[in-house]
Amino acid sequence: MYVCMCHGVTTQAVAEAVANGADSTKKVAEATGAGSTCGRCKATIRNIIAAVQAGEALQPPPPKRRADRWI
Amino acid sequence: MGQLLRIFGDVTTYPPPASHVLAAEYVAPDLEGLWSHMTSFELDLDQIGTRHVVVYSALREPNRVFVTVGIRHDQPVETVLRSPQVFDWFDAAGVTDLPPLFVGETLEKLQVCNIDEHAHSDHASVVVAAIVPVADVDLLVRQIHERVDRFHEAGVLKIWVYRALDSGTEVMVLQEIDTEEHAARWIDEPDASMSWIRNAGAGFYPPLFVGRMARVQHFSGDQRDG
Repeated sequence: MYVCMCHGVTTQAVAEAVANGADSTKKVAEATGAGSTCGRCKATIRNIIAAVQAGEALQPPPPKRRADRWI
Repeated sequence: MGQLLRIFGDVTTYPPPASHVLAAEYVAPDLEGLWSHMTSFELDLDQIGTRHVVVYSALREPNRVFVTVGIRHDQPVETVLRSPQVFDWFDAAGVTDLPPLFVGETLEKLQVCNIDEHAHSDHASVVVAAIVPVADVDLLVRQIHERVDRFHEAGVLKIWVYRALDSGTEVMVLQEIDTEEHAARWIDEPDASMSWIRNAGAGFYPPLFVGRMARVQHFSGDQRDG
């Protein structure tokens, strides 16, 4: 997925930058360019930072009665 | 083979137009603004090669939408993404924080059930959409074909699979299911080939989306392309 429309930066690129130590939107912008122009993707970048730091980037949510959440 | 354009004696080769789908899941505070934009700004959207727009609305939260936009273009996808039309789309719906955007190409469009069978039903079908990482995209498509009878039994009407342009292991899967009850059962107890559904919403991926088609609009190029 693309996070930053202005610079065509992907979620993977941001996640890699975070894994390499970019722990703020400012550092992610310095590393990838994401969020450095219009800034409207910063909320998504913050979510990626939190997910990577929590080590849950690919962890599934709890499986019990999942459908109750949507239907 | 690209198209050739002769200008003042020079021959320039352009890549052939590519068909892609853009998709995102987000909360649209201003749904009326979104509908108005879809109907009033056809020419605006046509500038980025838009062929169709489909908006699905979540069952539990009508302002939560899943939008797919089919485009046919001959420019780098990054150029499309930074175009004013993409930003105008989100602005029209009152969206300030941009959601991550899936950009992919069609891998599979499978009609599982004869639509006429469902046409006699009183129930409106449900769409279950997910953007997820999978270990092997080709294996996923193969398994879907192998287990199509199982999908039919579960009430699945159609399956669309798209592969992300920026990741060989990321897919968007849309499934149309005949009733809410069958959709709930399918989410709780998916077929083995759909076990990836349990990864929906993991980490920075968008949550599983369950909703119904709210609006669809075809643009002039859609008919031209057939």
